[in-house]
Parts: sequence; C-alpha cells; structure tokens
Amino acid sequence: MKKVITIDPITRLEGHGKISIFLDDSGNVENAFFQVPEFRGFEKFCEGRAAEEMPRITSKICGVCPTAHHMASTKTLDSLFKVEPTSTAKKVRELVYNLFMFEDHLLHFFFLGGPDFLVGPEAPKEERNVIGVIKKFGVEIGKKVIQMRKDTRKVMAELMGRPTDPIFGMPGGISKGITNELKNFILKFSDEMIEFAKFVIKTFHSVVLENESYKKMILNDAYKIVTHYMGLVDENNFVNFYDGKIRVVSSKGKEIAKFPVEKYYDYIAENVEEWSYIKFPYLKSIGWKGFIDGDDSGIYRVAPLARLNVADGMATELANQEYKKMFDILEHKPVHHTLAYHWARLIEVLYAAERVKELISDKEITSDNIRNIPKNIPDEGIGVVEAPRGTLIHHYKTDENGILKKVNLIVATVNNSAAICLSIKKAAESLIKNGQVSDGILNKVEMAFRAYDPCFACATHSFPGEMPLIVEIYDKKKNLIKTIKRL
Amino acid sequence: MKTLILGLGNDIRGDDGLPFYVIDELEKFYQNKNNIDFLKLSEAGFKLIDVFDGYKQVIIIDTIMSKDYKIGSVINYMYPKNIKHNKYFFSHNTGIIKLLEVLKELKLKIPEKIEFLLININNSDLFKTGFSFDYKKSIKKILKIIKFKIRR
Repeated sequence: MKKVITIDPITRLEGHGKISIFLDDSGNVENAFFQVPEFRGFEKFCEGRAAEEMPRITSKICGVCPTAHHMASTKTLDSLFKVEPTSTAKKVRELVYNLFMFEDHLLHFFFLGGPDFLVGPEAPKEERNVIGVIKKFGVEIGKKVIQMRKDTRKVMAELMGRPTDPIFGMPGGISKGITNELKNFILKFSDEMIEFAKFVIKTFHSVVLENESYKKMILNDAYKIVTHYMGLVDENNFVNFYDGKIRVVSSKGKEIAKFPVEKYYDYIAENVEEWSYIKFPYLKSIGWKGFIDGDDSGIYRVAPLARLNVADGMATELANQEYKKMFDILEHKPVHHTLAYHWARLIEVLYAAERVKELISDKEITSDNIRNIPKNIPDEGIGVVEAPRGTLIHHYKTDENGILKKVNLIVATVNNSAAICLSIKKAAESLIKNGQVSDGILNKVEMAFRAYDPCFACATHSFPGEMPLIVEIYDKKKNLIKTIKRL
Repeated sequence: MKTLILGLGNDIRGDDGLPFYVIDELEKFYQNKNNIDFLKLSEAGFKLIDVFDGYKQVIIIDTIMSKDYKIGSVINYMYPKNIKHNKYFFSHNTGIIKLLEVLKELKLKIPEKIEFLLININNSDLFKTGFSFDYKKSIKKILKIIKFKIRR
C-alpha cells in the first residue's frame, strides 16, 4: 500500500517548508520532496521601478542574507550600466562581503547546525542546541561568539550605513569610503577574527574529527549523495565569494564547465514540478533526469562544500592548509558527504577572516576614488556572488531609462533544491523500513537539510531539534493513518 | 532608562510592513527624546542576538497571523508572563523567547522589561507595498499603549 508522509514545519517569516515522503508498496521510501512555497510576485513588484532601487529592494527579499542580495544586485547594476567599478570600490565591496560571510557562517555553526556535532547527534533533544553547546564548552565561548558577531556588524554598519538593508553599493562603486581611523580599527579586528576562526577550527578538530563516532556519522551513507558541484573561482581556480568565473566539476571531480555569469543561461536550466513553487536547477549539458544522483544526473550542488569541491584551493595560507587537510582526511575529491558542509563552512570562516586582513592592509583601501559614474544607456545586466548558501545570480532587463522590464533571480537555496530532496530521501530511507516509521526521523531529516543552511525560517529561526514539525502518514487513498508531531 | 523600540517586519511584503510604519510614527512623536532608540529590522531569531544589549526596556512591535483575533487587533504580551508557551509566538517562530533563554544562560544582561505588541494581519506572502486593511485604528492603539508605557 502506498503511503505519503508529510513533514510540515509551521513557520511564516521566510516561507513555509514542507517535506513529503512517499512510500512504495512495501512501505519503503520511494521518493522525498522538499517544498517551499515562495513569496509570490517579486518580478511583478520590481517591474516599472528604477533599476537603481534594486540593491535596496532585493536586500529585503529575506532576512537571512540581505548583504548577499545587495551585493549581487550592485554587481548587476555595474553590468546593466556597463560601468567598471574603481579598484578601491571593488576591494571595499569584497571586504564588506567577507565580513558578512564570516558572521553569517559563525552564527550557523554555533547556533543552528553546529550543535549536531558539538553536543552530539545522539544527545537528548533538550541538550542538542546552543544551550547544550554553552553547557559543554562554557559560557565564555558563547559570549565570545556574540561579541565577535556584534563587532563584525558594527564594522559592517560603519561601512554600509547599517548592518542590514545596506545603502552602500552603487553602479560603478560604493557610497562611502574607508577612513584611516576605520582602517586601523578593522586591521586590529581582523587579527581577532583570524584567531577566533583558528580557535573554532581547532574545536571542530578536537570535538568532531578526533571522535570516531562523529567521523563515522560524517561518512555515513545516509548523508551521502553523488552530485556535480558549482561555485565561483578566481583566476587561479581558488574560492572567491565576491567575483570570478563560475566553475562546474562533475561528480568525479573533472571540470565540465567554466563560464562568466553572463553565460549562465547556456549552462543552467530550471525544472518545474507542479507540486512545488520552488524550481529545480540542473546542468543543461546533462539534462533533467529526475530526482536521482550520480554522474548521469544533471543535479548539482552549491554552497561551502561545493565551493571547496570546485576549487583547486583557498587563496589564503591558513585556509588553504585546512582545505588540504579536509580532502586528505576524507580521502576523496569531490567530497559527497553532506555533513562535510559544516567543516567546509568553517574553512570558509578562516578564509573570510584572512581575506579581510589582506584587503584592509591594501594601500588602496582608503583611497577616495570610490566610484566611476555610469554614462552608458542601460539595457541588460547580470551579476553573481557566492552567498553563504551558494551561488546567487541576479539578471535585470530595462528600457533605455533604466526602468525594469524583467527580473530573474536564481537564489542560492534554489540551486540546492533538488539535492536537498535527495538528501532528505537518503536520511528517511535509513529510518523507514517496511512501513515502520521511527520517531528519530525528525532529527535525521532535520540534520540532512540543516547542513545546507537553507534559507527558510525553520532552518534559521529555530533551535535544532525544536523546529515545529508534523509528520503525517497517509495510505494510498490519502487517508491519514499516523501523525508524529513536534510543536 | 534606555529604551529600544524594535519594529520587526518587511516593508515590501504588504501588511508585514506595519511595524515599520509604527516606528516611523513613533520617531516623529519622540524626536526630542534621546533615551529612546528606534530600530527597524527584517531579521529574526538568532540574528537579533546582539540587539538588546544595553537596554533596560525593549518593546517589540511585530505581526502575527491568527484566526483567533480580528484583523488589525493589537495583542500585548509582557515577557516572561504568558509568553513561553503561547501558540502565537510558536507559529510566528521568530525565536526571540529562545534567544532570551540563551542570553540568560550566558549570564548576559537582558532588559528588565520586554514586551510585545503584535498586530494580527492578513497573509503577507505577496511582494507589495501598502496594507490590506484599515490599519489606522491599530496604529492608534499601539501609539496609545507605547505613550502610556514610556510616560511611566
């Protein structure tokens, strides 16, 4: 008898996520789908507005990564108005962007995804959260995380006008430069960032990697799917969050595409399913083969692990050492183990800290040459950044007065949407056998998608293990036969 | 006593922008009071972890969607009284209550007075500006409550 299991997080702010698991006649998992009804009408909302408004508008799309949207939008305006930002503007933008990545990743590790590791996946639900982390590691670490975040946001506010909903990026440059006083402050602070990032990685090594059961969990097949990977790389094929070319490597690690974002339409297509508002991007050259993994599937992944998988290394010294260590320990590249996303995220924290130091040490960073005024007639622009949650593409078309006629965004979590479905299916398979559903399914499924740090409320606003969930099991005729609730 | 009045919302998501409108109105009214800070944020949950630092009183203006109240109703809760297990917070899921627990656990100072003013709104899943109902009564009620609390 076919059954449908629905896991339904009751949330509002960033979208209403739903997980449906379909069982076959034997009561085993046949398929799993992750659904996020998106907020509707964004394109319509933008049409008829001045393109220059977009960095301000798009940063309000969601409360999770406003800076990523602001930056992608700003770069799209550069492209739209055909203006090259000044060298200083590019450096300041990248500096701001790395500060953002640093604080966003840290928050995820300590407060959202990390407790799975730091406290332990087998720990009781009431301990497997940030309070459990505080109890295990002491109050001082918790305080330090908050202080680092507070200081980072203070610097971002100085640079961008305010820490969220920035008023900073403009076509051809930025609205505000860096004073010598601010430079000195950030320079000193960047040392603290690096020290803290080193400490976090050291903690991950001692708590997670030196513990055989954690290592087994990372390498567990329940958390492994075989996909292709996509991410931005610089001219040396090193990870870069702000700029570069988009590189795609196959599930076997071979480069299969490298292109400027302006060509994204030649490489990425989006599959539409009638049961979901969210689209499912795939590699055009391979095609959409359904929700399957493997080399023949067009499904790819983005975000920290994907970025490290597509790159040949990190552009900063300490992060590069950690990068090498990760691939040495996991003995394979690309790494297909979804839980390794957490490790990759920490390597990116270290990279972001080091990159901030590099950029703030640059002599040009305090130059007042912060903007080239656009002089060309706008028509079409495309921009890209690596958001914490993956590759983020903005694409605008306007009339000759810069009034928007068409807007298309491929947001980070959407790139991972098909892979998230696959990961949930894999986790569910290990807990649903012959129609028997283990109550542990809630935690395992949560862990599977939390590794991606997806951009919706249940992943970002709730304690791990406390996300409101309802598992509903239906028979073939869709009669509700079992409900597991966590409210 | 330093007070923070925090509006949580999004002004391109219809009714969800109401808290920002309230903040604008309050800022006009209290423009000469330097012991009150006003803040508009579209973030929630742990993203607010450093926002309350340094305040003795915090008033959070937010929105909910509940069938138990008429659209435009204003619901006033004082933390921690009747909040921890309140289903409206759960459905809204901003995580502020959990956040406050974490701050306590860290032995960090939390404001002495924290309260919520919640406006019951229509679904705001469309990107748009403007509001779907006659919001003036709600705003008037909120302003009245806040003026009373600040005066005290």
